[in-house]
Amino acid sequence: MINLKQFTSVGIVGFGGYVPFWRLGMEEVGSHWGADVNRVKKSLGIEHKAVASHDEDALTMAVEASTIALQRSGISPKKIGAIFIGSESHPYAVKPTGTILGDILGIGNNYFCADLQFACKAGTAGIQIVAGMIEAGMIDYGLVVGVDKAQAKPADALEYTASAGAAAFILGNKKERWGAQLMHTFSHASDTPDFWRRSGEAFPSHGGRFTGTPGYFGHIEHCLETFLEQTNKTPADFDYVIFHMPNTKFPLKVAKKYGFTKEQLQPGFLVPHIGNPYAASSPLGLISVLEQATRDQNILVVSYGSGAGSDAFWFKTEKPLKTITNNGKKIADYINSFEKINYLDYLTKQETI
Amino acid sequence: MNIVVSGAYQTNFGELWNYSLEDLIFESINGALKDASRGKKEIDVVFFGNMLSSSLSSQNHISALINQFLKSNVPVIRVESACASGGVAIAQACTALESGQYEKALVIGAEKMTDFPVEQISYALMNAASEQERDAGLSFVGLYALMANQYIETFGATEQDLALPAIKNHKHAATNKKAQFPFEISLQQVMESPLVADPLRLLHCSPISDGAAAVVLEKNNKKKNNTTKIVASAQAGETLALSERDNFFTLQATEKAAKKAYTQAGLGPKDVSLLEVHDCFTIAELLAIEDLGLYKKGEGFVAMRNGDLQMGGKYPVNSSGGLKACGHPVGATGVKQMVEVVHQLRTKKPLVGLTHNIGGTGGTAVIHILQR
Amino acid sequence: MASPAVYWRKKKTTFLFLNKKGTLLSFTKINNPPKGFGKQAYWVGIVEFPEGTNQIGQLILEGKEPKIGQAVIGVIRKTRQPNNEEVITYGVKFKLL
Repeated sequence: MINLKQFTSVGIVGFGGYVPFWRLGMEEVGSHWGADVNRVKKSLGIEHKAVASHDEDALTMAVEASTIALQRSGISPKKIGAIFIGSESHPYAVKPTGTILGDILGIGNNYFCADLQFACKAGTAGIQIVAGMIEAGMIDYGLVVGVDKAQAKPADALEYTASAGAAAFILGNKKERWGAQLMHTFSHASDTPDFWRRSGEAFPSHGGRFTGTPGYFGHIEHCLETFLEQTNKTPADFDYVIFHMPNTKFPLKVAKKYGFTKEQLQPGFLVPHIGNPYAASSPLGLISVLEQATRDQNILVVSYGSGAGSDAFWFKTEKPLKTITNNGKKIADYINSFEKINYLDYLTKQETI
Repeated sequence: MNIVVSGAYQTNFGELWNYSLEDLIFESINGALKDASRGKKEIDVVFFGNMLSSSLSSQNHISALINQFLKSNVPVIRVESACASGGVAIAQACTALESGQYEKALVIGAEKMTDFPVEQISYALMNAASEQERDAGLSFVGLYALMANQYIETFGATEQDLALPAIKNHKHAATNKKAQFPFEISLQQVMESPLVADPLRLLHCSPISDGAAAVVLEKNNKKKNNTTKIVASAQAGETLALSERDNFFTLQATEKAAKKAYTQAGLGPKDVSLLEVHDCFTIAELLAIEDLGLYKKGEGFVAMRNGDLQMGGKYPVNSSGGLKACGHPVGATGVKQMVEVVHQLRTKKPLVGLTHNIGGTGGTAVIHILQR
Repeated sequence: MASPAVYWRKKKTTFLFLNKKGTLLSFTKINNPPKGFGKQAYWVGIVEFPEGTNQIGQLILEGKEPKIGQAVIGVIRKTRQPNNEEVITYGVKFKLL
């Protein structure tokens, strides 16, 4: 059971996103496997997906995003008291990504840390953990990252969408530094094996259509409905909504069902341009929204992680937001600056071959 | 300085499948001693130049093997200075003889490289580079390519200019029975060879080779028919890392060693009638003729275009074919250069010869001047 | 196997030029990587920094052409191709601006 709590001391003081330079077009994947390329493109609604270079991984991308977040926050890295990185592609099975990031950013040696895994909601779970620590007075600032260099089995449907990216947030308790205040958060979870990857396996497996209703929709909808009820809000109360985006269809379907408009959804709707960067999906959507939002606006985020669970957040934007945004490279710059590659180059960059 | 080179011998250089490192060492010792008309027991001290036997063959105590072969107890000292191992071994022998402690020194340079895959050799050769250079995934040809690019950009040389030393050296090697590549090559062949590290192509690079060379040096040789002598021996060093230098086209170690050598010999660059220069990559030859004082910085490639450096030209460079065409068994090169100069001086045509041997990207330079 | 102690000790200087801007003094493309650097060609350059030191490292092109005098910035990347057992080596490569 969760006690809905109105947070009093938690806000986002810095945020930054990173999307790698390379793009793989849907037509590249489709034509390689002999699919009807036009039909595939139409049904996915995705132009191309972001592909990281062979020498990039979850850690290197986390550094890129965290550096922007730190720059925007204006605080000394030594003030950070926690690092939680959520990913499905941590570079090590045993050895935390968090400490590598911590050392590189220069946050010192006194901080709470553990790596997180909950499929695509590992990053948002990190936000909840760090928010709790700040609210409890354990730390003043904490760093959360959602990042993935997603793996997909060649010829599997996921190959079209599994991409790469990182989103970093610095949460803190100094009101005057808040770009957005955290109001509430909620989670819904159950043991639903819709998508998984066994230890030692290179690629994930999934239950096909089972990932839809019992998986994605089952959890996001339950989480959303309960959250709205508990916070006494309606969809129209929010200026922006961000759902986890495994493809274009699923989030559009949820938005339609609950009456969210295109205007609310569009600013965070990155999937057509970058695909699904797993644990960075809704976090990057949130970054995109923060970079476009103005003060006194309400943002709703509902993430989803297979296996399965959904986290909901309500953020209220504050006066310093625009200034904070202008202090760092925008995610739109990364999304609009790219070069397309072919399928073989993709396999090399993924280190599959 | 007045040290007679009474014996000089080199083995064939090339891919010598039937020869182990020991075979090469022993052949060169026998050859040099025979040339010097000396017996094994007449040698007082041995210097052995070699770079890779410990990393490639796990052999660190070749010295004792040499004692075994000579059947003597004389001191055998292994010298390592990357590709300058041979030249430094000679320099050490000169110092030892000058000290008066020894009368007759044997210097051997040897290397066995072709038993191993190219990747492994490339990796082992990187032991001559700095840690940062290794961590960046640089190969030796990469380091020289960085030097070449800055030279081209600064002085207006072209990629074709880089080919000229290779073409010249192959022409010289065509008449050298010991050379690894005793045949001519054309500009087209060089420019069509694959790029290894832009702008250096395969035919701009010296090969991977096996081989050995040896010389017998004597302090007080009274024999009349063999008068070729070393009149200067100079060594200098500088930064290991290329990036630490003011520019990448001047090898200060060469400049300093050259000045010392000319002073020791009481000669200047104009007096030199023949040179064996360290052309591990063709760019190195262009830089060397400048750093040795033959030409001003940035004018070497013009002289090369004019044919000045060919046999019969103003400064004949690399009559052996150089490292490019004669071959470059790393530790042997410095000694082979002296063998070549000695044989040329014995023909009674050139009067003064100079050998120039470099380690790494110029971290070490060792120069000897010889007179007939 | 690469030593974790060596990697750890070198970290004091490995990331000094992360996010720092410099100028390309010279560069080349390595077509035949030495052992441990994979099979694909890559670019290497010497970069001059305002602090007065020069650094040598791999270049990241991302669609741009390297030229002597080009501005670059230090970014973090994996620098070697570790085998399945080794510690992953991260370092700084220089991205063309």
